[in-house]
Amino acid sequence: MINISKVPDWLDRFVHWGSDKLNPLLVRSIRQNLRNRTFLAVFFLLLGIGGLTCVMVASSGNVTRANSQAGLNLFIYLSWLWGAGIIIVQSLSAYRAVIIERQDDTWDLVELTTLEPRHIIRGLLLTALVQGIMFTSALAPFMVMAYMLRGLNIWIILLTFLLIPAVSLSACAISILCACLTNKKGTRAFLGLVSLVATVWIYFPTMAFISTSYSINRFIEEFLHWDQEIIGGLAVAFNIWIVGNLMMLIFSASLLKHKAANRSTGPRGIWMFAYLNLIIATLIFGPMFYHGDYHYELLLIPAVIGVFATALLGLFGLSEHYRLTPRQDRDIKHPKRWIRSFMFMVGPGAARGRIAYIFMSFITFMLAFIAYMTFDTGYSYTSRTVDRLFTFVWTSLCFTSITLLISDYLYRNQLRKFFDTPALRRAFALTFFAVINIIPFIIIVVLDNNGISTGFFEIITPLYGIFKMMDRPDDFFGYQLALAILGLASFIILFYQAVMNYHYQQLRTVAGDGDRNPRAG
Amino acid sequence: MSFVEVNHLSRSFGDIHAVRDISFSFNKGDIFGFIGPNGAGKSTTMRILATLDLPSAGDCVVDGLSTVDDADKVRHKIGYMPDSYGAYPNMTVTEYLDFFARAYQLHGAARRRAVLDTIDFCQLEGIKEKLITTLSKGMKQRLCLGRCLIHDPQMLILDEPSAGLDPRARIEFRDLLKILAEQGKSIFISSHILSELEELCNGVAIIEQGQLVTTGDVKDMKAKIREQATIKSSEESKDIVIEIHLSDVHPDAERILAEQPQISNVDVRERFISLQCPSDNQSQAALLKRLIDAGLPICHFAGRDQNLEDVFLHMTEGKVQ
Repeated sequence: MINISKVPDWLDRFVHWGSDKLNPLLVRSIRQNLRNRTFLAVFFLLLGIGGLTCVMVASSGNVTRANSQAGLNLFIYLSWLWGAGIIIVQSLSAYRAVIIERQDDTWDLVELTTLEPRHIIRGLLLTALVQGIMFTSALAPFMVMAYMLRGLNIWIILLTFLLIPAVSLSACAISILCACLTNKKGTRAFLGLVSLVATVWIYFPTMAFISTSYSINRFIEEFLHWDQEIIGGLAVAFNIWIVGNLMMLIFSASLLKHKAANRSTGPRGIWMFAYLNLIIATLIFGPMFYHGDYHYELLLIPAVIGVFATALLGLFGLSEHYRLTPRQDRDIKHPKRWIRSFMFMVGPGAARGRIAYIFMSFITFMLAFIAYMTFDTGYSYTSRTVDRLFTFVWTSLCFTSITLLISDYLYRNQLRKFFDTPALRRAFALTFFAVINIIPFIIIVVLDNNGISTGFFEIITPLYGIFKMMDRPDDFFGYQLALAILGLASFIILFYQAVMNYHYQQLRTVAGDGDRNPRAG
Repeated sequence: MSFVEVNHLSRSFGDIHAVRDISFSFNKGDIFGFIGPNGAGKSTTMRILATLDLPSAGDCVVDGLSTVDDADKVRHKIGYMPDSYGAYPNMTVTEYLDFFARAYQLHGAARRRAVLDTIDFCQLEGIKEKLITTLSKGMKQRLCLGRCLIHDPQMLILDEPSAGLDPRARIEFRDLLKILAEQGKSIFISSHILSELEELCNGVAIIEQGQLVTTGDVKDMKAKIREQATIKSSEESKDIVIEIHLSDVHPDAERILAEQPQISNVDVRERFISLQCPSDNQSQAALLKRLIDAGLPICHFAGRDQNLEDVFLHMTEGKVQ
């Protein structure tokens, strides 16, 4: 018989050591949750409904039949219940936890403790996970009972136990990101709704997949036969899951950072890392799905995605201030060892933002160029697709660069008075992009109705022009040449600006006039 | 260089200028009071000093570190108590302090000791296992002071800590602050209870409509006001209030005083007398001589001392934004 009152010394020391290392928010939230009526209500609800489901299945009468599916059925019912607990309830509770944490009177106190936002986000996420484990423990006895009945194999259990927690973690990450986006009451309610819809939207397909015995059995069967596509698909899904969650959590933490702190390195770094990951994943897993003789054209996948990723990075990177705050300056001068070599790109400020943008554009272009140059033109249809996609990539990169450069010039000079913050600059750049697409389009419609040639306006309109050049590249050789020259020139100007502003001046961060007054209630 | 320096600090919220170009400083071990009517900009200044808000212009420096540029380092040096308690539900007193000790990255024995010391110092022993939500206001206030002290900061920023406390809780709280100041901690405190600040503070700053009205040593300020009041009264030929203390109760005191010329508003309460007489020194000297000659055992005769309330009322105009 074990004397539980006498804990071995090593165990005691280990528990103390472990407790010491735990995230403070995790410790606090778990202590609070254990006294929280809502948490206890959900826990006992799961326990009650789980018990009731067991009784109903057990009393259905077909439990003892040789071909009984009672075990599987019970497990699926319990999985729906479990999923509701750890996907919907848990992610909503993560959303609520961030909102409560950010309430003025307590958020100030947490901010003052020098707990970094990443610790706060990690603590909140861990809390959600531990809460999920507690919900699981409410249903665990019934799940064991389901296994003892017939019709359930271990693979279904394993798959469910991997899939639901994985989906639950992503749902929590989405909720935390939504909650970090704003601290304004109205927007907060809207984002809460968005978070709920996203969570429910994730919940139903996940549970439907698990509940459909045909799909789950087929999946397991193919997996056990090491089907290349299934293995590759799983690897890709796992990769997307890791990078996607990491991105959401890093974005969330950056949103909580102090205004004068370095809020660029994390998001820009993870964005570029995700792109690199996409390229590597395409090269590794692409051949598993693609049965052609040549694989280089697969590079067009990251290249096409890279066009959008680069545009977004440019939108954020270019719009930052050139001058840095002393805190950002310190981050550049004394970075962490592992990121030191990349600070010329991922460091804060518009100069480094420009370098990152140019670098990513170059990589994107090179991917498309390698695919274009190495592809065997013998297959006419595929060859045409490769040509079109290559044209799409380089023309898009040029249009984006020109658009960003012009909007950057405007908001830093003529319109400086109105767009003096990065957020306003981004809004302006997006508006500018919309305008240069819409106005020529209206002119095209008017000219077309009057029988006048619209070719010039078609080609200078980014979205319209790109697709025209993709369809009929030979008809627009002159335009393509002009666009290439202008695009290259815009990249050179951006690089020149980056070099000229690389050795920043220090900027004292001051409050904006529009900043919320916490005293105003 | 002073331990805390507020240099030309301004903070605007749109058209509202909450704080306008204010500067003051105080040293280590000082208890510095911050006085002003509601909406004067006290809390805004305190939040900037606590690194929770950014200034529109100017800066605050704590121990040579800017609260904007070196906020992370400053945060280790300060403890901030806002005017709201900032307490979490479903937590006991010990758990609350333990959370903040962990958040300030105190580990192992150091954390446990910090929690126990804080409980001991703030006299929370009897309620350490109680839920925070069940505590009285005075106890919550002590707990919040404990939270501020858990990482042993060099400076405390206390935004109206005595608001809503009963007299006993207020006195106990004041005693704790005195001990902390004796330990060398700087305390920056705002309060509406001016008599309390007068007793506690070495220096004060008075703010109105976001602008600094005056700053300095409380005693100097009171002397200055007294002097100004005397000069003003003399110039305007006004009476001033004289306080007289007798060594013993005199049965004819009221009669003797009633016979004196040029005095008014006589109030006799056993050994203590207050009255109004002309502000010039000759009249006061003549009055004193007459009263002694009449047999009153006078051991104290002086113009009434100005208290911080007088200073505040004298300096401010009661305007709010």
